[in-house]
Amino acid sequence: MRRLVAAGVLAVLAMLVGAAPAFAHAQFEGSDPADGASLATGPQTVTLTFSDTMQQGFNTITVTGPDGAQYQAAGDPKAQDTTVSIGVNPLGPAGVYQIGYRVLSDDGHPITGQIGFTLTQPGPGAGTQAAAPTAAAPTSQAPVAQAAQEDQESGGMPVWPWIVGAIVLVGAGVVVAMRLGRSS
Amino acid sequence: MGAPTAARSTERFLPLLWALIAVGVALAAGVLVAAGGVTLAATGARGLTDAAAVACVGLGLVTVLVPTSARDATGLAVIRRGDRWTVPAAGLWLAAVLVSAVLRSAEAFGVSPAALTGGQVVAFGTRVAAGRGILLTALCALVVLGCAIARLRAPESVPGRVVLVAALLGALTPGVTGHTGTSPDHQLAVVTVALHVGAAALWVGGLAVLLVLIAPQRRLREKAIPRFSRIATVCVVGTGLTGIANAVLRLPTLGALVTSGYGALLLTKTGLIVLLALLGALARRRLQRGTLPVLRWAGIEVTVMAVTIGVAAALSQTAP
Repeated sequence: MRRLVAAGVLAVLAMLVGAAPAFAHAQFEGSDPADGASLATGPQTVTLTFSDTMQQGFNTITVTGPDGAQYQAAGDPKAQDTTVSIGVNPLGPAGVYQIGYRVLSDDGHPITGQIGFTLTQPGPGAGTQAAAPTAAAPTSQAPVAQAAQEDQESGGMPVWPWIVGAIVLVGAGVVVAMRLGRSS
Repeated sequence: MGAPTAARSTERFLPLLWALIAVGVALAAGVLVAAGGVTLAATGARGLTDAAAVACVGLGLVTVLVPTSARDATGLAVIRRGDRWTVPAAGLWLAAVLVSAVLRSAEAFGVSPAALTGGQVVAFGTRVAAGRGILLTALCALVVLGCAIARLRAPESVPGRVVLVAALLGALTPGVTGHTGTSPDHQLAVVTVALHVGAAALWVGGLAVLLVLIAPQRRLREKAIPRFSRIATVCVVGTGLTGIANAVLRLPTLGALVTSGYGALLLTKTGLIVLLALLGALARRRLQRGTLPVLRWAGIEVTVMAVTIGVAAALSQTAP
């Protein structure tokens, strides 16, 4: 027994040596354009990099100009490996543009945040005025997942009555099994 | 202790009390690290899921703790009671996992759970690793439930160890899939977290069933306690070592231990596990000297464990 424990201790210690620190959950690692960057011309796309594999269909990125209008291209942001990107329409007035994001990594936890860059020369574009993409209430200041829209079309009914039904069914099964178990 | 009948009636409610403690502590810890809304509800559901999973692991251990030599009428009656209790425990586990699936999907999509659609749950359950883990846990809970019902009808139909293995697998899945998968030490982290959860579940669940199911039978207790003591020693050491390993692998810097909410929860867990190991060692020494109230000590120990599970549930839903 003692030898077993000692072997276990040694094995774990051996594994720990040379182990680099990592993270329990995915985190924001960087962006293009970088947070706080100053640009003369607007970027074609915004790319955000995270520490974990990102999933298509759960992400929202918004680019909000100094005029309060939105400049991100329409459609679902593209997730590839650890990055999420979205096209950007031509920017408008010079000033600070905010990139807001709400993304989901493979560990199932949403990551929300906001970064900004400064446009030094006004561009030719004009943004679209922000309209609520879905009826869902935002849980924080971060934008709401537009992906919800797409999935609502595939299964529009709320799922909670089914879950309640399943739980009632499990409960009934437990009660019946306990009754049968007692009588036999 | 009061009259034997009074003691027995309170003992019946101990498991419920422990489950409530685990959920309550998970919620309180969640509030302290400033989780809110759906995330907080998901933390509570995780606490309940873990408590039910640990109960199933412990109940699966009953057939291991009661040696073949002790399977007289009393021994068989205890095993049968273990099977009976597994049914509601697995049912509660399955229900908690289903609620978790809804809450985590709602969290992922940023919608309210009432507006969540079936398509969204399916998307979360198939496309995200954490979602696949929840489905796997649900499957394990279902297997445990089915096996327990089968054993209730015909005890020899399914070996008790099948229940134990299914319960263990379901208990450690959320820990394995709930972490980032692209870190350089992912394989190592997966192994340590699986060992950590498995050892902790065996230790806590085993002690709980020993206390509630086996200990009231004196003759059985004398045979089961040394068997459990051996398992517990390995589990305590395993839980501690893998816990340290995980902390080293997961924390970005040493400073995060004191600056982040994740670090604070980690320190709390460390303190609790040291307390548990001390209590366990104390109980063992008292046992060797033949002085009881070892059992009362064990009750306190399981209560501290329930608190630890609650903190762990909050930890699992918190970013470092």
